[in-house]
Order: sequence, then C-alpha cells, then structure tokens
Amino acid sequence: EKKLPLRSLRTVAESFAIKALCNVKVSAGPSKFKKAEREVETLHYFEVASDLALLYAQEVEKQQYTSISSTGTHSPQPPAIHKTLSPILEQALHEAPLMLLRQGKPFAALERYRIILSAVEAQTVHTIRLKFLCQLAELILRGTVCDDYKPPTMTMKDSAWKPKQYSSLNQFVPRNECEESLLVLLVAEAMAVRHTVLSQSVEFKEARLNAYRDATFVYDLLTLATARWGQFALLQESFERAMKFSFEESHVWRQHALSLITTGRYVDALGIFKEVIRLEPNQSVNCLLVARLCYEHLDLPFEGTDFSMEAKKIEFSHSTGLLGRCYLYIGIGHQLQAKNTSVKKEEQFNENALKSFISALEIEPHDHLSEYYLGLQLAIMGRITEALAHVQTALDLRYESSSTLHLLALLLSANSQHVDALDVVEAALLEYPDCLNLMYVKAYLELHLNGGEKALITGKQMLELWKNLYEGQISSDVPECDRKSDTRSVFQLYTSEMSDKDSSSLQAHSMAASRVEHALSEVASSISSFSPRPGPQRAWKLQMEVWLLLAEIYLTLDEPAYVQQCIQEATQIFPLSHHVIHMRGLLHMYKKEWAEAKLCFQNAVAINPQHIKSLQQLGLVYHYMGSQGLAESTLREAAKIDPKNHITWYNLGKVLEALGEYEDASNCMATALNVETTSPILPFTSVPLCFE
Amino acid sequence: MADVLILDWLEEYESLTESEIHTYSTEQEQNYEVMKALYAFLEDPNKSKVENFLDRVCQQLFSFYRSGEQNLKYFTMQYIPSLVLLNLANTKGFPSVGTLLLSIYNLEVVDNKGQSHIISFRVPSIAQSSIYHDSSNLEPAFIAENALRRWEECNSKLVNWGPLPQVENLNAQNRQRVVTALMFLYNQHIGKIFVDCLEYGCRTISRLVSQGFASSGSSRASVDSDSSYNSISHRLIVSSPLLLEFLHVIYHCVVRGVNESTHTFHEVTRRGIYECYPDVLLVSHAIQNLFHRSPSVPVAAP
Repeated sequence: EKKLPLRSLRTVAESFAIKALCNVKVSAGPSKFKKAEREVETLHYFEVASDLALLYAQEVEKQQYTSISSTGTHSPQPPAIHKTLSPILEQALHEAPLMLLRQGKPFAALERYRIILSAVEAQTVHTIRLKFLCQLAELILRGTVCDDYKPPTMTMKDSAWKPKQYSSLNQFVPRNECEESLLVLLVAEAMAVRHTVLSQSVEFKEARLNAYRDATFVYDLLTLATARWGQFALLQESFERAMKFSFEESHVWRQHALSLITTGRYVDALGIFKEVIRLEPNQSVNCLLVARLCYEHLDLPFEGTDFSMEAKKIEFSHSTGLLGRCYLYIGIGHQLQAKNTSVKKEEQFNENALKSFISALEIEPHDHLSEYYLGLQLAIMGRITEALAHVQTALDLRYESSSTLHLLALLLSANSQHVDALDVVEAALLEYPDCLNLMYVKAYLELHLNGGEKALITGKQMLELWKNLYEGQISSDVPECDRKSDTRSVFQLYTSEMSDKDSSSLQAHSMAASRVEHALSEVASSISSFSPRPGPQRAWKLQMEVWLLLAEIYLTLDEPAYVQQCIQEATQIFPLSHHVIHMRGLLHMYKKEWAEAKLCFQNAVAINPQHIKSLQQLGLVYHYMGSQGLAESTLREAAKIDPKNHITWYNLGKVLEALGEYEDASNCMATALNVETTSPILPFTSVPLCFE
Repeated sequence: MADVLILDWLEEYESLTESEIHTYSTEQEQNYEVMKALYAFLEDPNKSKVENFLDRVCQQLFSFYRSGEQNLKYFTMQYIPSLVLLNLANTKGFPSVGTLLLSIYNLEVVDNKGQSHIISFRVPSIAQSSIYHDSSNLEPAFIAENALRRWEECNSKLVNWGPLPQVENLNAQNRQRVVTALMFLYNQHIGKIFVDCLEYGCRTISRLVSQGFASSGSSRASVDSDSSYNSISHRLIVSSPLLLEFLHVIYHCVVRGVNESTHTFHEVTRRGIYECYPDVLLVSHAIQNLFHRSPSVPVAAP
C-alpha cells in the first residue's frame, strides 16, 4: 500500500470493486466453509474499494482546487464540479455495509458506516453521504444494535490507502447511541437543506420533490430520535428551517404545528394550524387539536367552539370516527363560554352544552369523559340528582379519574352529604396523594364538618406538599422538558391538574382580572422594591392560595394574629392579588374595622368586578355602616353575576330587612334557603378542566 | 395442556441447585413451547384452574429477573407488555402482577451500587465540529443563536432518563409513570427479543389501546353494550409517554417484519388521534411517512 497517482488510484479502486462484485455473482460451490471464506474475501474487497473511492474523490477535488489557484481564474465563483464517481465505485460503497447487514452483523455495518462518514466530504460523494447518514441513524433508531452498541473510537491507522478524516480541535465524539443518532441526523439535516429547491417553477418540479423527500426523510427520523426524550425544542427549530422549502406541503406544516404545541408555543401553533386545516380539509383531528388548544391554553372558548363545529362538519363528510369527540368538544366550548357571560346568555350556552354532551353520549355511550362532562353540566345547572347518576356512570367506566372524583365530592356536598363527600375525597387522595385540588376540597369539608383544627392539619400538609413538589423547580432551573425525570412529572401535574390559572380559588378564574393584576404588579415592581419571586409563577400562585386557605381557617379559629401572618406571606408573593386583598378585608371585618374593610373590598372589586365574594362582603360592610341603599345595589349586582349563590341572597335579605321591606326580605331569605340545597361546598367550576 | 407445560417449568426451576442455573439459563432461550404457553396463560389468567397459578408464575418470573443471568432477565422482560396490560385492565384484580411490575421497576431505578439509575446524554450542536462534519462549511442559517447556545450547554445540560423515585405501591397517580418506565426498559433490550414474542407483544399493545372501542371498520364509535364485549372491557388509560414507547416498539417490529405490527400501528395512531396527544401524533405521522418509503436498510436476520 503506497501512495498512488490519481489515475492509478481510480483504476485500483475500480478493480477491487469489480473483483468483489464478481465474487458476489459467482457461486462458491456447495461447501459451507468455502462460502464463508468467499464472503469474508468479498467483504474485504468491498471495503478496500470504498476506502479508495473516497480517497479518490478527495484527491480529485484537491487537485481541481490547486489547478484553479495556480492558473488563476477571473470568476469569483468556484467552478462547479460535476464529476461523479463511476457507477461501479458507487455500488461498491453501497454494498459494503449492506452485505454486513444481510449477514446479520449490524454492529460491523455500523462501524463501516462510521468509517465512510468520518471521511472528509468531497462534493462528488454528497448524495451517497446523505443516504448513509440516514441509514446510520435508522440503524441506531431501530434498536437492533441496542446492547452491543459501542461508541465510535476514531483511531484509524494512517495509511496511503485510507481517505482523510475529519479532525479538528475540540471535536464532538458521541458517547452513546442517542448522541450519535442525533448528531448524524443534524448533519444530515444540514446537508439535505442545503440542496433543497426553492423555486416553484415547473421545470424544477422533479428536483424539488426529490430534495423535499430526502429532507422529510431526515425530519421523520429526527422526530423519532427526539420525541421520546422530550427534545421538542430541537425538533421545532428544524421544522422552522424546513418551512422555507415546504410551500403547500401539508406534512411538514402539520409536523411543525404539532411541534409548536409540544414546545408550548401555543399562539404560534394556532397560526400554523389554521394553514394546516386549509391544506388538509378532510382531517377533523386538526380542528379538534386546535379546539383543545384554545380551551386549555389560550383561553379562547369562542374560537375553540368554532373549530369544534368545523370538525363536526368535516366528520359528516369524511368520517374518521371522531364525531362523538366533536360533540364533546362543542359542549366543552359552550360550557366555558357560559362561565364568562351574563346570566341571560349563560342559560342559552348551558342548554347548548347539555345538548352537545347528550349527543356525544348517544354516539359513544361508553365514553367516560362525556359522562363526566354531562354530570358537570347538570351540576352547574343545579340538577344534582341527575348529575350524581351520570358521575356514577363515569366512575363505572373509569374509576381512576381525579376530576370525576373531585366532582363527585362536590356533588355530595351539594346534597348535604358532607360526611360521604369527605370519604370520597379521602379515598381519592389515596390514589392521588399529590393532588392539591383534592386537598383543598378536603380542607373545606373538614372546616365545615369538624371545625378548624382538622382543616388546619390538612392546610399544613398542603404547604408541605407544595414544598416537596415545587421547591426543586424554583431553586434550580431544571429544564421543564426533562421528560423522564421526576420534575417533569410534577410539571405535568400542574399543567394538567392546575391548568386553570385560579384553579384552587373559589371563583371561576377571570382572565381579565389576572391581566390587571399582572399589569399592576409590573407597575409596582417599577416604583417600589417589590420584585416577583423567581421560578414558575403558577407554582407561587398555588402557594399563595394555600396561605389564604390557612388564613381563612385561622379566622374561624379566632386567631387574628396568625391570620395576619398568613396574609403577610401571601402578600409577599402577590401583593396585588384580589384574593389577598379580599382576605385582608375579611380580617378587618373580623376586627369590626368597617372603613378599612370597605376599602379592601372596593379594591378587590376594582381589580376583578366579577369577584362575588368581595361584592357580598362589601354589601355587608355597607350594611353595617348604615348605607343600606349602597348595600342593596351592591348585593343585587352580585346576584346578577351569580344568581345561585345563597350567601348573596341571605345578605340581601338582611339588608332589605334593615330597609324595612319585609316582604322582599323574606323572599330573598326563601331564595337563599332554596338555592342553598343545591350549593356545593366549593363552586362546581373549581374542578379543573380535563381532557383525559 | 398449557398448564402442564408451565407447571413442569415451575417445578424444574425449583429443583435446580445454584450451580445449575447458568446452564439452565442458556437453555431457556430455546424454550419456545413454555414461552408460548406463558403468553397464552397471561392473556387470560382466570381461565386456568390451578390454584395460585398466577402468583407462582409471577414469583418465578421475578426470580428469573434477579437471578443475575442475562438470558433469564430477557426471558422475564419479554412479558412486560402482557403484564402491563393485566395490571392496567384490572388494577385491583391481580395483586401479584402489580407486585411483580413494582419489583422490577424498583430494581431498575437503582443500579447495583444502590445509586439512582440514570441514562443521560449530551445534545450535540451542529455548530461544533464533530467526527462527521466540519462546522466551518455550514450555511450561516445553521450557526444561529440556538445552535451556539446548545454548544455552550452541551457538556453541562444533559438529557436524562431518571433518576426515578422508588415507588412503594401503585396508585392512580404513579401507575402510568411506572409502566412507561418499564416499557422504556423493554425498548432498551428489544433487539434481544424473538420475532414470535414480539408478535405477542404487538397483539397485547393492540388490545391495550383499543379495548372498549369498536374493533371493526374505520369507525371509532364505542361498542354497544349488547355486543360481544362485556361491561368489564372498559377503556384503559394510556398516557402519551406510554403511547410513545409503544410506537417505538412498533417501529422496531415493523422493521423486523413482525406480523400484525402495521395493524397495531394503526390502532395506536387511532388512539393518539382520539386522545388528541400532539407528541404521539408527531411521531406516528413520522413513522407513517417512513413506512411509505421502501426500507433503505435491510433487516438483520434475528
């Protein structure tokens, strides 16, 4: 093996290749031993031929560059090199690893791929390289080499017959199969993208489609390699680069949209999905995905309902068996819209939601989710007994569902079966020991049944649990996408179970209110020393809710000093939350400091005009301060927002009594009694939104 | 018939002395009859009349797993999908299955030194030259901010599997996490599992994702209560990470030409669509697209 001139290099390479190819064709006779020997020989020839072929390609390129620089060219562009390898050499390159694979030696094939790919790229072998990069990735991703995998060790002996290899300082050398498959695919992506055709004109159509197909092949493999490890950010970046050559290609658009959802960029996902729906007019699942996005993350129930309706329309013409789901999603949309509208419209939305859930169940009688939502809808509409029956069916269909159990407990409490409700919650907590929502219900039930002492214990447990679950996230910046690690599962816990911004607060959350709070706290941080706590804000918000719960419990235990401390803790997290201000007002009420209490409740209502509890208390404060007219109008306002709240009616009754309107007062009291029989311990809307 | 085979298998192992286990383990690999009998048995353990049969089987599978013999470990591992199905379908019904799964899980989350078992890797950055490319030849679009940031984090920010917490008992909150971890382990060693056994695995996965849904036709409507399904076969909970592991199993199976694997693929995809899981859809679209191309790498003979 000595250094050969260019011409003989090619000749020698080709002769090795021809010899190997001939060997394959000629049958080696019956002897098994002979056959094996022949195979080893052939393989060796193929390997020498492919090494030489790569070397030849490199030498050719080198020579062309030197000839250009020595003669000098006036063109600023490097001349295009159109030489390709001869077909025989190309075949030899292909055959070497394939032969090993056919013989069932994936690891040896892997080594062969590595040797070929670590040779410095020459333009002539570009297409083969791309193909090999994909094949190498495929080989690893299939899991056939799983246990025998050894990381590449690049210690090639230097020989005049071996191609030049990549070598640079600080080179990345993969240490395991995940690293290698990702690396190979990233390199492949860079190569595939370089050769895509952007022009849409007809003459380039074939070239464009071919390049597009090669590129999507790389992307599909990349999807497989990343998704399992939760590395969606990497994938999403790649798809973003792919957009420029994927005009009107639905596959890449859809994958990009999906990857945007998985990386949490919901607004962008919505935009891309609109395009995907246009490109794939027969796929109802796209509409459903967007609908869920709108409900769950974007707080756009109206748009979500529209998309669900569109999905239904598609299902009628191109059925994929998702019709039941469409009705369910329409129902959820109506239910969410009912939360945020005036009383008159609310009835309409509730009726629509009910109808949709019933239709969903007609199509899919065994769907626990539809049963659950029907139960929830009936509960919201005050039909407790019917609701109980449906929740029971939902539990028969799936007994491990925290939302259904949560709803069951609330329903039982509305039926005044508080002891049973507590039993349900305690049983549910055995299955879901980390569910703060259920603990919250438990604390309230205990407060109602056994007084503050027991509820206090639960409240303290919640605080401890919060510490266990979220402290790790807040102190260090653990990546949220670590799919397999425990932090991720916690993260999932609070995205799925705590998805509602105020999920553990007593009123349905109001997007407007939290926006106001956010804006106010920004102002506050700019003019005072207050700075928001680091880490995910939702986790802090939960902690605040726990402090407020503790404050409420201490209030019933007649411990104003502790109440003050709890409020202090909550204030340090979110000083401008209307929940905190409301609690402060309650403390002033307790101390009979009417003027301060009035100010607090007025502030709370200013932030969230829909906050029923503040309105109720404000009415009472006015009542105690003697301004009965104001009290009446405030309470009537509260009744308008939620006519099913017995405290409002009771307070209104008291005020009217003070005004001397005894008949109206007794009517109000009667309404209060009536409404109270169907009132749960916490509003039904406090059950977090669920899709599973 | 099958019961007898399994009984013999149980008794044979019990009668072994410690020195014989190694030879025994090499034979187990060829023990197709018993393997099949066990699959059939695990499909419906209630059919068998032998007392405590499932308990004994589970016990033996566990002693196989912890025997220290790699072959015996693989032998148990191949039943993970079946065991997962049994546990998900009947969370309270077969306590020994739950115990077995939990024991395997707890064994696997720590390594032999008692430290947490972590699989971690670096995310390569295209901006850093590697053994396969030279970053100076790249187009500028690839050396964007993100690629450079990733290069910087390459050695400090690892992608991890684990550390997973020890679990004392299975409940609704941790069940999916535990079975997903077990399926992940199954996937790690899937290359060692025989094609016939993979077929059982695929069938199990099909059942797991489609139980409680109408099986025939393209319609995904639920079954009527008076059809052949009885009320017991309610739909099983499958989280999206679990479906992702299933998809990897199926990808491997299709490549190796396992019967029914494409059918299973469609079942899993349908479930992913039904549940609207974006990550599952992402992967199943990718796999579907890959299948449309003829395989570029031939399959190694098993």
